[in-house]
Amino acid sequence: MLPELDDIELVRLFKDTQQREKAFTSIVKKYQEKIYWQIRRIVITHQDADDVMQNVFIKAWNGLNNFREDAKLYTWIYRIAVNESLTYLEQQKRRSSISFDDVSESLENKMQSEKGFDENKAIWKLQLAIQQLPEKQRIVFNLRYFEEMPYEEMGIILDTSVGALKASYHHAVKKIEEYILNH
Amino acid sequence: MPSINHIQEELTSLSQHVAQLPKSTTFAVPKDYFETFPERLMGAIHHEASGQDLIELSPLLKSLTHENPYTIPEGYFNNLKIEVPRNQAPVRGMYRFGTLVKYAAAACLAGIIATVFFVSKKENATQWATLSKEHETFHHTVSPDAIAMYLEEMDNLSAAETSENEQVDTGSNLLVDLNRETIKEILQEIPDKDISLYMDQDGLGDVYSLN
Repeated sequence: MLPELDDIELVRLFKDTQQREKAFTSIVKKYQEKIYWQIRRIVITHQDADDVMQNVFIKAWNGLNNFREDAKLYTWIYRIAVNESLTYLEQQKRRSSISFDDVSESLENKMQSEKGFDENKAIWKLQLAIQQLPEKQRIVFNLRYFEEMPYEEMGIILDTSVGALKASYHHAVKKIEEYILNH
Repeated sequence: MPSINHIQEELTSLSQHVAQLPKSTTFAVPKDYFETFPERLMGAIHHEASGQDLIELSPLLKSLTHENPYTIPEGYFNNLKIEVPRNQAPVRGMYRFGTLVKYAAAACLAGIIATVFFVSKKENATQWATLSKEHETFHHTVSPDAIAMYLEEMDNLSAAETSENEQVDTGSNLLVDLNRETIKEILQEIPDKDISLYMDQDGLGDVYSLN
């Protein structure tokens, strides 16, 4: 493990074949938890999150040589994580030929089988409410609510304007509130 | 980067209920997952790079040589020329006969409509001009004093005079006033010869005898 280095240094070290593996391990250790929770909130189960985690970092390993240093490293990895999570859900949907509503229901079922699930507890009620949201609103809400990410950064990850993200977050919060009050 | 307070304030303004919810982690993660993940990941990367995944998936496929069994003519790529066909659009004359005929027919039709409209408008204008001319002539020939005098006379006509005239014209009143004696007087004034001639002509001699 390398000492605490900033992202630019880590990317430079990665481009040196001698230092590549150490640099990459440092990057993984630095961002793995944040990336994991972002993925986990989308795909729900640990097994699925682990599969997506591996895909995300393998893609990062293969693409980091072409990474432009003017972009933020963690924003780039976040973007890969969101895309990979959505692709994973899409693949699951295709394999079982289920609609969006069924995917939402399937995620709800997965959540209910989670250890310590209690639908009467506020934290689980919140998770259930998040699962009712459309895909994009769910991601925007997770990034803003749990990661406390600025809209500008979110805009880079999701390739969406700040105004549209604010509107999505607003709708998401209102829907969650409605769900919580009615359940 | 916005402060956490700013994000919390935004959330509170949107929904106090959601803002009060706890943000603690709900999902469980296996013990030491994050400690072991980088190592497992690097193992997976090496595995993929070495082609071990293909060996495990299909040892037979991995054992086959990566040679291309297909052949191509010698010097094919050196002599390869791709001719981009020119997009030659069919040449069309600017003025086609059919189009000209259509335009000519349309122009004729428009001309006929315009002529009819113009002529009818002119006739109307002439009629209006004649009427206004007559009106002007009337004003010139009859003096305003004469018109005023005529109107005054009309106003002075009494209602009695008007009704008298009306009685004279009414045929029904005339019949009522002719009584038997009046008729006798009238008949005495007419010579008998004329009366008998009238009776013979109309065939009334046999039916009535007035004397």
